[in-house]
Amino acid sequence: MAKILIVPRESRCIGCGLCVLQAALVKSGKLSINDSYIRVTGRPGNYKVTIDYGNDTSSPSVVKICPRNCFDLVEK
Amino acid sequence: MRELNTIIKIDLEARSFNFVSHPLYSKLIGGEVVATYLLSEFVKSKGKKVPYLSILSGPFSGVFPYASKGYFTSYIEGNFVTSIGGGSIAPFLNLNNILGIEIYGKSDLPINIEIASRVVKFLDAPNNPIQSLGIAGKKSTMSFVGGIKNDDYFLYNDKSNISLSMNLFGLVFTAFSDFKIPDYQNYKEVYNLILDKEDQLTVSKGSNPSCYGCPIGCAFSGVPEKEHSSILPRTLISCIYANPIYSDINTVFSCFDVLGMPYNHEFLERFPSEASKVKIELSSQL
Repeated sequence: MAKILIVPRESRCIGCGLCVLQAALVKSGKLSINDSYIRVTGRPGNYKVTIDYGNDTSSPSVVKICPRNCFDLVEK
Repeated sequence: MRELNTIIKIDLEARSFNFVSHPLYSKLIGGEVVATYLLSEFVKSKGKKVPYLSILSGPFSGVFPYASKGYFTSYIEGNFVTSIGGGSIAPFLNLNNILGIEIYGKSDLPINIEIASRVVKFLDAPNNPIQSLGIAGKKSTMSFVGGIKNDDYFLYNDKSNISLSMNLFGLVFTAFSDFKIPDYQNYKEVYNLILDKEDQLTVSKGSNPSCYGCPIGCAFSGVPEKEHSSILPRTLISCIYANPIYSDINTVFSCFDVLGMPYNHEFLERFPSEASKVKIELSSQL
């Protein structure tokens, strides 16, 4: 069964951007803020994480890289 | 081969800008040494009366962990200020292949600067607050009103009052490019090697807003660095709390190597003496 990325613990986010960069690496082999399927917006202390499901979001490396364990992979 | 050698030069009085690339910038690597060289060249060509600031990135900013600091310099009315702070501005510059930004002169009206897609816009500040500029999630903001703050949290020292001296209220940089890793497998190996050196950090992991590309979220991310450091970490602008990691030439060489950057061991060993020449040159001018 295909998996997708979700962010059930968004309130723990510290805005480090590692998920953004990892998602870009998985998608295109580039370190990119511009071309990632994850976007972190908001302000320090109140970050919002948006996932673009038009992409394959099943890479476990994004879950693993988050230092605050914000993400899970779940079956579609 | 990657060379990080592009500086965005912005003239507030003429409201003009240039993206200038020069091989010498990459020979000086980044951070403190490039900032010192740029100010030295600026004073030579424009004198000491024109207000000046620069924000420098480093080659590892946002690319390797614990190396996300930015280097701020200003020279206004004889007041020379440098500061190292966190946030996202340095990683955003580096990941867009920009080494730094130089801004000089005084605008006739209060303005905010917006940088996106290799274009610099000069916008009337009262009608274009920095919060309204750029693209959410892809921008780094610098405010110069009441101090210098990146992303509304990360502070830099400021004794020169940029908003008053230059009529510059803020700057918004929106990502427009990216950085292709030449050898992904080797990069990940070196990246993980450094990530695993967390026990060498002189700061503890926390849940505070973190500098971009740093997983630590330490209690000091929001305040400017105060401690002195040797020239190599200051050039890479690695975090002061990661000094044991980035003072090691072998680690630094491995990082450069996987990024395809042209610095060998001999170059890195000679670098401190080259850096002092640049600093001596500046001190003879100020």
